[in-house]
Amino acid sequence: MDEAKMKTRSIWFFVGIVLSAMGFITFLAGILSVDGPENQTVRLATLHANIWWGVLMFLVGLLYVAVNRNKYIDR
Amino acid sequence: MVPSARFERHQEAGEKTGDCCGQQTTGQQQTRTTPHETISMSLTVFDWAIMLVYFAFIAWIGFYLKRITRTDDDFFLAGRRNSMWVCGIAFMSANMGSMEVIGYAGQSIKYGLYAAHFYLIGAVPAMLFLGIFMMPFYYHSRIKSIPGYLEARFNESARRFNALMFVVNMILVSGIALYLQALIFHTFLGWNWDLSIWLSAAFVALYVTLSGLISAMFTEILQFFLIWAGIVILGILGLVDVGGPGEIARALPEGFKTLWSTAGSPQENPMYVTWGGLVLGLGFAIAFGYWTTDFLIIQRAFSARDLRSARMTPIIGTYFKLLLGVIVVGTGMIALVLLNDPASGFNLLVENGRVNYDSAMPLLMRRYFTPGLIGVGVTSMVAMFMAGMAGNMSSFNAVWTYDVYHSVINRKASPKQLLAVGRIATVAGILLSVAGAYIARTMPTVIDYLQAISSMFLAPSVAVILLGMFWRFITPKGGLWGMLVGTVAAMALFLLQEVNMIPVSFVIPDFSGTDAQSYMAANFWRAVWAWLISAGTAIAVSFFTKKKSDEELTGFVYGLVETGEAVKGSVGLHKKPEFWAVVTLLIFVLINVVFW
Repeated sequence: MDEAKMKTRSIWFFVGIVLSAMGFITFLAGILSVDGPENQTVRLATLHANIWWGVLMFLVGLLYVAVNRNKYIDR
Repeated sequence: MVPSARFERHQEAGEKTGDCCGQQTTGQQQTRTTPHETISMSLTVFDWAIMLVYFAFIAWIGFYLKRITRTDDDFFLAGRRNSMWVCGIAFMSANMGSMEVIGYAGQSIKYGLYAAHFYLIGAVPAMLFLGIFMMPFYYHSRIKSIPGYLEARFNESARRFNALMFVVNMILVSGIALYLQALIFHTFLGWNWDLSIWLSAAFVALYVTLSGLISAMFTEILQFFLIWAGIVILGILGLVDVGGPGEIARALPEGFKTLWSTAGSPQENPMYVTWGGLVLGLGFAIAFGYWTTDFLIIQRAFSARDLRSARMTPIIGTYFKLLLGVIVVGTGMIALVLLNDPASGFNLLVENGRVNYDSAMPLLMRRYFTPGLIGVGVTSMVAMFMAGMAGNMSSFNAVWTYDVYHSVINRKASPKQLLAVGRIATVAGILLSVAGAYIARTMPTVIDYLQAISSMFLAPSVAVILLGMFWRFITPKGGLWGMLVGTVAAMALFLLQEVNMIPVSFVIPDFSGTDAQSYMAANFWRAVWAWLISAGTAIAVSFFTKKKSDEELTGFVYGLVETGEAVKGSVGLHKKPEFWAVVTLLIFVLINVVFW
């Protein structure tokens, strides 16, 4: 079996990818619905939690990607 | 002192009468509900996109990891090369199923701060005991499952009996988990019930079948982050809404915001239990049964790269368990405050005329979550289910393959055959769980039923494993008969209670209330009796049967195993499991004192 093929990326790298993707989509949803009808019906919508929580998820995800981008696990 | 009538009416509303329309007065508390059976969340394209990212990753990861899954050790023990953080987070994630998160948020509405006992005395002491005292036995013996330990310590029959009980337990628990997931899809997304259950089952089958414990652990770690992403923001928004922790403390009656001061009499607390039931039943018989002998959880520690990592696995888990308790019980308390405020407009779901306490967390998400966050919230709930189910299935396939197939059916099976059997067992287990889900759909109270299962299947095992691990006197036949008699006795007590041949009070020594109020207390005490009957039988039989020699017991019994690896002189204090266990213990004591 090829040695290179046995290398697997660290799980933390994938965590970073998924968190940053989800964070970005959440942030985008928040920006595009700032004046949406949800603000009238959803409690505390004026806090725009989707914007800042999306940014936080994105940044945490990005941090995980950056720190673990070159880390591999030998199996 | 809290008037007992308050709790009586509160619990009757939810558990007995199911009269949920309009206002229900519960002493100072009012639980107002509306007769809705489905409440749809409107998902935007962004929410669907977030769910798509999650499902795409889950589907892909199984294929990605399949290429490195070559042996049965890779499939069942993830190659034994994982760090303590990977093992610790996977360990906790396997515990963070929908029942533990959504279920206990609902239980907090019924039991107030008493629900926090499931995260404190019902978890921390047992997790620390596992890490400090028991893990060296498990890890050094190189066993692949808990029944494997029973074979090594006792005999083949003890292994087979325990494996059979574990397999039945897993199918029952998995069926309930599948049902709860389908309930969430059906109720909150409006999906077809059958489609929901089969779709959920198919995804779990896909990634666990391809690469077993490796992909289960990979996804559990991702799911761990997603679950926190969904529930932490919910807690923050809930706190802002009700006015902060001080407002929760002010709004709730005494019995709902203390841990021990009202445990002197069942009439003074919402769980109708005393300290004896909490300490002996929940804290010892049930908690030790679950945390120290349930292979579903411990399998993650077996995959650690060395003994220190294996011992740190449950200790790391204690920190997340405590934090999870704060979020989950806090969310339940927020829901309780809102339910008691007529101006809040917050109501629980009603199904078939019965208040659904489990609906609190999803309904709070619906209350606070805007586009994007709804996707995060729904994905978080799906992740809870996936994490729990993957744990169930990866432990089920390991026990079936090693302790039933390899032990009973084909002793000469090659590693390749074991790998194939493990994959087939996963699919078969999921199909059985689907059948179990349809049965679970007919059950009235899922959480109480789960505790009943724990009292029947886990308490007898822990009695025999603890005695066998720390006392050479226990013989192979003593171990087998201890488990057998304890399990049969616990089942008999439960079934006789269910068919009304004995009252719930039969097993509760300090009973004072109605049967409906004392269901949880009965689960605690049934576990205590099962433990005592198992231990008593094991000791009695050991007096008359042949013991194993010290040579045969080396590595499996206290005093006959090398446990020094974790405490070598070169290891700094901050790297010692004992140090972090003491820190956890101090936090545990502090919480119990502050909220006494």
